[in-house]
Amino acid sequence: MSHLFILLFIISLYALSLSDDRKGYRVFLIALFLHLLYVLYRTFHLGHPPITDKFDILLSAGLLTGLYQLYLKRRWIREAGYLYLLPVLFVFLALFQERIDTISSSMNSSWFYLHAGLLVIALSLLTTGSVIGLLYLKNSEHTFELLQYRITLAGWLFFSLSIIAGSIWFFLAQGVYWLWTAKELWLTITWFYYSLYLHGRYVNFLKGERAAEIGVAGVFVLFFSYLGVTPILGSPWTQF
Amino acid sequence: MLRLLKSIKTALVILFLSITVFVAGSIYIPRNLSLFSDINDIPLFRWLSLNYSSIGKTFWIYLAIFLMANSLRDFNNWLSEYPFITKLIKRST
Repeated sequence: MSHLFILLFIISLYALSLSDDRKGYRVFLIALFLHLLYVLYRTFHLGHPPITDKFDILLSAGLLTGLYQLYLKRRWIREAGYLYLLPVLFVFLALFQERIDTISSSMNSSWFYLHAGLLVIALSLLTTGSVIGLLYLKNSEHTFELLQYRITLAGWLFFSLSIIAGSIWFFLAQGVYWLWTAKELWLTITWFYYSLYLHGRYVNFLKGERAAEIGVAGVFVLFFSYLGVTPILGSPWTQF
Repeated sequence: MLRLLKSIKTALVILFLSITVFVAGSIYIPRNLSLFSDINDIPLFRWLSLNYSSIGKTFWIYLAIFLMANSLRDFNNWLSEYPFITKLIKRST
């Protein structure tokens, strides 16, 4: 099945290189189908939803971004272009993560699945918002900026709910809602960052290109807090 | 003064400062593991009083508490002026 994963990555990359034309869209559909197959394989292989380690979370979030692209292409954005970027990015990042097929007993909780499931949705929405922001910066079409704001708002809501569910799960598992670690601080920073963007955009303090740029930059904060904090800053008391 | 506290721009400044303080914290914790090793085992204010001598490395927690308290107060101010809430208050009095 690892071959399917590598094939998925190559086809996704090929779809990205073909960009806007009809052939690119067809190849994208093939890549998306393979992506779906691989996520289904992981689900049956693990025996639970594939959201319990970084590899599977990235893979599932990538699949969701691919599904959003189908909707966005039909309703909002005719030229696909950048839209193929996200599933490829998620699959690429997943390549560097360890595949963990077991879960600890503390993670086998409905609150954990809720937390991780909401996080997957939040990751996919927040990154999709950033890519639409890139499209706005390229085309200066006002609809894209509005769409970026709305999708980021939805992502932020799911992210907030994920943090709440995660706190409840952690309290039930470890007896505390919060840990003072670099990882937790950066998750809070990410929440603050998107709050700043959304509030600023809502009161027109941030407008047009500046708002779009700050929204797009959020993806770096998001990925740093999710993937970069532990290897770069170190977060010794965080298990996950 | 009240207008300043209710201002959404003040909230934006508080958010920006909170981000800065939390970034500082995320750098201080991994670099001072022996100091922060028991922060998650005892209540925060007790831990702060026990480690008052290391305020040079824990100042950001005081700042974070101050900023969070301000955010809550701002939120309370904003909420108390929200039309639905003011209507409720008027009705009950």
